[in-house]
Amino acid sequence: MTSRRDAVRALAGIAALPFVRALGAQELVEIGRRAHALAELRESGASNGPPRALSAAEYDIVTQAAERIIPRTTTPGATDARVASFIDVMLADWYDASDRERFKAGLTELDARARKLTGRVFSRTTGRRQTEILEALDRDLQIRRRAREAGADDHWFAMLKHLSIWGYYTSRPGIVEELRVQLVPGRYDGNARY
Amino acid sequence: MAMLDIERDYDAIVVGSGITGGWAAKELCERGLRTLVLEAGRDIDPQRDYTEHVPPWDMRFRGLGNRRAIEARQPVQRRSVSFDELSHVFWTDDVDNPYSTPADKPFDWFRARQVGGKSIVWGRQVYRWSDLDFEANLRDGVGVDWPIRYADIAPWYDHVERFIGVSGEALALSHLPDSVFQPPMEMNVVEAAVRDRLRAKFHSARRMTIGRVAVLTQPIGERAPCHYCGPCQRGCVTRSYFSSVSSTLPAARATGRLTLRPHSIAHTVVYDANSGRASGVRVIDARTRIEHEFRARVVFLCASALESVRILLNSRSASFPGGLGNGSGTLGLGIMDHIKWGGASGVIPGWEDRQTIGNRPNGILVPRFRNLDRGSRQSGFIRGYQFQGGAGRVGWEGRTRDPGIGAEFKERLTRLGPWVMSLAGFGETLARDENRARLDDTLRDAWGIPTLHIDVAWSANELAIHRDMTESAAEMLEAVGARDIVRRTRPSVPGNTNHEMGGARMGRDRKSSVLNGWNQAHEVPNLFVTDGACMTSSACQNPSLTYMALTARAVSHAVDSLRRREL
Repeated sequence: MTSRRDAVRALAGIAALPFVRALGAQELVEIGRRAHALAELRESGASNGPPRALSAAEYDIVTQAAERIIPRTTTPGATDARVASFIDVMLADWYDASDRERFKAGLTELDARARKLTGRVFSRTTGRRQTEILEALDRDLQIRRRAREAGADDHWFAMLKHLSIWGYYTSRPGIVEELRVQLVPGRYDGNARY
Repeated sequence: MAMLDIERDYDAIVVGSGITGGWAAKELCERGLRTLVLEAGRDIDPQRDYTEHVPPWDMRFRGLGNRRAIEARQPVQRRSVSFDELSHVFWTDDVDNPYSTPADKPFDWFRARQVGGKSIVWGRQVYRWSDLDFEANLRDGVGVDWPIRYADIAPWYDHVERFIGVSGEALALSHLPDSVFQPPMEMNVVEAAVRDRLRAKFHSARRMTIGRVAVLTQPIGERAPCHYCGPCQRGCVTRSYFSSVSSTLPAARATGRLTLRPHSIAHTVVYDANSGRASGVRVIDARTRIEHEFRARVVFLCASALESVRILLNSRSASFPGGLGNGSGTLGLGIMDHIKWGGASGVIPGWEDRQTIGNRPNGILVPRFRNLDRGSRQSGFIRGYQFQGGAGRVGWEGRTRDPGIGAEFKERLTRLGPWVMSLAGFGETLARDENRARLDDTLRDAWGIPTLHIDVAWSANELAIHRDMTESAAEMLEAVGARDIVRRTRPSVPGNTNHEMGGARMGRDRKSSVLNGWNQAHEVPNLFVTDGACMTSSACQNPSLTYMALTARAVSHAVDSLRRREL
């Protein structure tokens, strides 16, 4: 196990404060990232293991559904951004059990809808069919939202869509390749070209 | 708490290591006093504890925070604007540190316990007061008159600003005096256009300038200029923004006269009835729970406004049954905050081919323009407010509920939306004795120390100010051609601005105030209170700069008095 003390020692050579001024933006990012990552590993356990909230089959459904919501185009998509892994962490550690169960029941419903339409479970249907199913769910969601229905945002599909978007646009590919945001640009330009 | 361990003497004790404690420590040490700083929280090592460069993808909840843990342990602190998934470690645990309020008068008490205190998470906006503010109570007959005027504090503003580094634009306004400035940060293209349009419509009556901020644009010693990473509330390894950790505590340490003792929860200032002086401070060690008493010739309370009030209320003796230095009966009275969130936002059409690069830790400022003179006098309220705000383009976060899925939806989310300009007011709160803090007779913190019952509500004047903020913000946005203007009409909860102040006010006599014009307890001459507790009125400016200047000024007086053997 890496202790905080080790984390600090690992950085001491490059991050001693008097030298910080000479470092570039990328080096600063690296210092922060490494210090945090080492400390986090100890506290939360690595998130690279098997899913904890979702079964393997459910994880597969979430991966494919998220990819339909945020597909790979000329830029990375939800699968490249490992959105399903983020959603698994959220379901395991952030949401309440009732939210988690509602979400998982929704995945069962996705399979049922796919079977009705194609005779196959969701993850075995074509991308086009998957999109059709999800678009129907999205239309229903918009109707509920427009009607200001109580709990519209708690619906499992609202959760799935929101988590897919959030997970993607906060991922490294989402920020660096899709949004092309420099997190530590080292300067401020209030009139840059877009 | 069974053991009482009396430890060796110091010249001075400072309770708290935040904005004012750091300043007291620096000034006391530099003037030759062996100084003990008692900090309730842990020590801070920037390399270990600062996380401002952690990218979102390395956060377990991608910025959404550890909801379950936070709801269980930090249900109050989470409401601070500076609270996020990583900065939450700089805010206290609400279960260990309870307080109470009347059921119908919520109050957000945001507290930070670590070396550096709230100077790690503060908003960094710094504005001088003027005589418009120092004369306000006298003019309006509200509360008590300030025992000082601008001329008394002006040289101390200079002194503080040179050390902390303040970037901003000089405007030569008599009611918002210029600081000693480093070059200002840049307005973005839309803010500059809004400023120009405001000038065309309102001339000099409503100005707009870049925020005045304790973030460097030029180096000071080992402190580097800002590199625009953004999340200042998680720390700053380049020491670009002012904090005790980056600036005052290192200066104090460099003298060789500083002793910093973390995990030391001060609960009582000990009073010696024979000498009529404070003899020292009692603390509970947060880890061992052993009680210690430290002695010194002079004591500075810099524990934050309400904590200092709490310590004084807990320091009861036969001489002072109602709390130390409370012969006036005013200890705990006149708690203030700034009322905020009145304001508006609107879309500024155009500039769709422009964007900002970098995360500027600063916004714009519209200095106060109400009740400055006969021409700007309002019938509905006294005092005034200022706007902070800025312009930016709406990103994907604002469109997650849009209809659609798939490639086209992704493309839409990724594209930046229109420019939105927002103005958010910060309004003066009157010092009213019915807004008060007292000890809660039944509630104790995790270390057995009696805690506060805080009873604060807005009065009609604050609510009138708040309504005017909203209307004038909308009026200004209309004047500059904004569309889809959204008015913000709900006032903040008292305390939420984290500008809580008052409770041990300065005044001209011991009958109506706790402190004199040197932040010195009228009745205990070697006791000084220099954090927000000392405030006699609130003005509408962010208060930390004034606390720092008052602290440096009080130390100068204390050390001079010690040398003259008057303390």
